[in-house]
Amino acid sequence: MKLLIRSTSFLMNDISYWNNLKRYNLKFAKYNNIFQLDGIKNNPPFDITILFLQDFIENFNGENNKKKINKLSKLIERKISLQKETNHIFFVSSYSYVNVINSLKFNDINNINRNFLLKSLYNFSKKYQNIFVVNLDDVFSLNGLKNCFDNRNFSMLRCRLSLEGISILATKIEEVINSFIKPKKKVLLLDCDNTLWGGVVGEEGPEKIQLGQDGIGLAFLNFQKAIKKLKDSGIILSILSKNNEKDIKNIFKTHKGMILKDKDITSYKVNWNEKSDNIKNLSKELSLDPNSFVFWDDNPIEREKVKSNFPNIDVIFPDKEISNWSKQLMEYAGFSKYSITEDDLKKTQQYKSRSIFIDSKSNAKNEALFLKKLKIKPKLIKIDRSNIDRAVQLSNKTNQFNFNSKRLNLSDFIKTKNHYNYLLRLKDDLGDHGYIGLISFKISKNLMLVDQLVLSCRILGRYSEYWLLNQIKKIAKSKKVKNLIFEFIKTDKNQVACKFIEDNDFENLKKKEISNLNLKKIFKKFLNKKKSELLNLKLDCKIKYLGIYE
Amino acid sequence: MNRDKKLLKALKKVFPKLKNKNNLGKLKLEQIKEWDSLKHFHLLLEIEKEFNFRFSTDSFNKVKSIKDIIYEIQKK
Repeated sequence: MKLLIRSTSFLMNDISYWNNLKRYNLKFAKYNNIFQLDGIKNNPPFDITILFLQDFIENFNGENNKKKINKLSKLIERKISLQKETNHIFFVSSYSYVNVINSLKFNDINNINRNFLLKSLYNFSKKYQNIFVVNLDDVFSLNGLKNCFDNRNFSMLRCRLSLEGISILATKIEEVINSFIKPKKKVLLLDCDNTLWGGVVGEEGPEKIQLGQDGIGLAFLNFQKAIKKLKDSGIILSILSKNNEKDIKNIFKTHKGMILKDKDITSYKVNWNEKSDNIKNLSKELSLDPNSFVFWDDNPIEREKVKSNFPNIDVIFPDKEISNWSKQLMEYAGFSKYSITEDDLKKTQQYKSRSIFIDSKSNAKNEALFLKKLKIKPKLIKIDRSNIDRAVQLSNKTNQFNFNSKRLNLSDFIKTKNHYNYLLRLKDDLGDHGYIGLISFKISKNLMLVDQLVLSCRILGRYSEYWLLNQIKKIAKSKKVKNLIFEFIKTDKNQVACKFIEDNDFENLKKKEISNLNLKKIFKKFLNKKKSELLNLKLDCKIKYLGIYE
Repeated sequence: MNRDKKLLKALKKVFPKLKNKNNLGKLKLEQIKEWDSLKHFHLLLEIEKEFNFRFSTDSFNKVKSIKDIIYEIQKK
């Protein structure tokens, strides 16, 4: 994986402080070359630009600076538009000792300039999905700007930073890159007593718990505020507590001091069972791997148990000082997301309705009848500008029901001739589930190749994959296709898709048939993976479970 | 002795391949195989960190050997 770093001044590229990034095939662009595009034939996945405002403005001429910054942001926009598949990350420092002297009045022109650059970058980050901005001054300020910058290094080497500054910058870059490539955590599991509030409800009663405006109660209150903020950014909250369910729910529903309300919680596992068993059930219920869970509990024994049963769950060791918990949670990087779509925000409700769904499904004697009663309404929707981000997200994040785990970019969804992309949208009595599936196919010479068939795991269990398959078949018939072919690649994670294939009339095409149909030539651009199998679906086969949708 | 330990630590950080030198005082920076202007600069910064002092802009290019460096440190 390539990582390109550009900067407006020298960064002492060869020193050992950059070693933490070497595993990424790190390249530095030529010094001061922040716009050069050549030499990078394949767009690198990450193009990082370090901007020191001091490097391109004349400190004492405000009007000139404004023009320069204007020009700069135009150049930046041009660059972004030329490299659409690259994640552009801008680290911006607007610090200048001149500003410190001149900034007693807010209308001071240099002060306006420095806000102006950040503002225009933030605007780009709203407009373009692939641009991200880090305010470097915020990062440096934790250690003191004074310690991070060094004027002497600048006059000697054209390097703005001290060794400390370089080290902090390298660490921050690593952290940001990791948040893109490491699997992100989706669920926060929370204990109750002495975690969300002080004291033990079962012993002391709801009036006696510590939660409120002063002392330790305020620390818990602030911790809840931090949790609420995470929830608002799309993280799922589950309560995992050894308690009487009634006591806990009562607090969430009626306690006036609670920031977290009943509606914020997707699932409660409040009982006297082992937390590990509860985690297993929760994982089934939410259809999410425990790897995506984060566990927060004040009790070290519970933490140890969970850690040993689920080594991939992030078990947090809360700070001794409860007042620091809120900060500790906000700084935890496992959740961080740089692209939140509207669907993320709907998630709590959707997973919650999934929880209800699983519950009532296991109670229903006749599953099909139950599903039919739900009045599930699936619909295929063409991909356009309004939903293309979600298409990219589905393609890149879905593992369990994914036919070949090909990760598609924005540009792959731009419609070309004989190339079709649809999102699946689903509503039922339990809620609007948003866009939860994706198909993409090509038609050429009586052949149809489905090279993307993806369904979000949170919707599994409604047999909508069967409905989707039937729709594909219908389209194939209407386009007078003779052979309907699916590209399939087995991965470590797509067992759900494997099972689906066994459950339907797919035939594995042999080498001879593939060459007879001339498939490799016709779909040359799309078939290049060695491991891929080509499956044929007979157009007259019968597909199960369609009754649910009638 | 403590001083030599600190010097060696800084040297090793910048030149990991450098073998333990018994007679640091006689080492000229140019003699180190990997030495170049950036490494020179980096070395002085590491020494600053170890000894908690700062070279002046002016002395940066003047120092050519460990002896010079020790002189600068002691001057303070």
